[in-house]
Amino acid sequence: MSSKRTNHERQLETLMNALAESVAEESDEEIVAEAAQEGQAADVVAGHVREMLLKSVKAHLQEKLRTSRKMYEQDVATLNAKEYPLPGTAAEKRRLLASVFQLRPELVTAQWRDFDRLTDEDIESSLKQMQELGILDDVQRDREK
Amino acid sequence: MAKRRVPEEKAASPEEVIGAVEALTTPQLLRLKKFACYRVQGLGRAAMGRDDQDLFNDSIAKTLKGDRSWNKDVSFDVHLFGVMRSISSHWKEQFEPDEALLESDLQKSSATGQLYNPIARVASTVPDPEESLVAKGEIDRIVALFADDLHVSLIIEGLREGNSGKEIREKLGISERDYESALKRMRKKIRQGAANVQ
Repeated sequence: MSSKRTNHERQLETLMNALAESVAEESDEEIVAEAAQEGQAADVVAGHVREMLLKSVKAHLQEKLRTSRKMYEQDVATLNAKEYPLPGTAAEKRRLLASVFQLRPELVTAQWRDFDRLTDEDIESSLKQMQELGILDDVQRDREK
Repeated sequence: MAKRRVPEEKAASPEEVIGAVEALTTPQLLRLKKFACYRVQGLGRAAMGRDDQDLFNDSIAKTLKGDRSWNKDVSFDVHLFGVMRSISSHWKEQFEPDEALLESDLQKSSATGQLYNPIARVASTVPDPEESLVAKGEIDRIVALFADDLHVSLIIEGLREGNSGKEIREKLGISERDYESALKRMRKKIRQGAANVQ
């Protein structure tokens, strides 16, 4: 199939675009009357269009959510795949994180307040993120001062 | 009219857009629907199977992403008209890159503020016989419907030659009101004609 449009196709487009512009200029009364002439209930058609637009907003939000989730999963995969110089045991990791919070209390946000209830995986993941952000190196330097 | 890109954080929020959609009146929604349908219909195969819902989807997405920022001094339906013009022109451009003119970029405003399209239509060097036949059949059908309406016939001829509404009005020496009412007759008769065919 040719991807070139023919002169007739372009002419038809010009006609349809002129009609679209004409619709945009239509008065409220005329457009409602037009729907009635077509045997359509204006409110029903309008409700359907509103639904379509709201569905578009929802589709956009879902797409954003999917993208964020994908990015998060990629970040987690990167963190898991990388080697970090963390202590060997879960208890040592927990102690390290506790000491970081002691030295940098500004890092303690709501999610960390229940420190004892954090799982070993939470602790390890947090330490990896802190390593990635350079926080552990900063803390180490502060300690050495 | 819609403004160009702004960062997403400065774009209209989903809540604002939902509020704007909820506030649209029945006539505004009817106009949007018809506008979208005519724009998609005009694209023919360049729409590549997309429909008015796709045009709405892309328009809302571009508004929320900030690709087309909504100037809130302009009503939301008028903003969407602008975005839909731009997107449908972009679809056409994707289908046929040689015709790389963005209609929205070229759109001009008449003295009365009405938008018109100055793109002249150029014949393709590689026509598609089947599609050409469908489009030709549709144009012939429209022309035949107005054989006894001189104003509309002349307007159709002017549009087919690639003239803008303003140019047609000037050539025919008719007022904007006469032009608009001729287009209204055109829409009505095309609708009736389509209904009779069905």
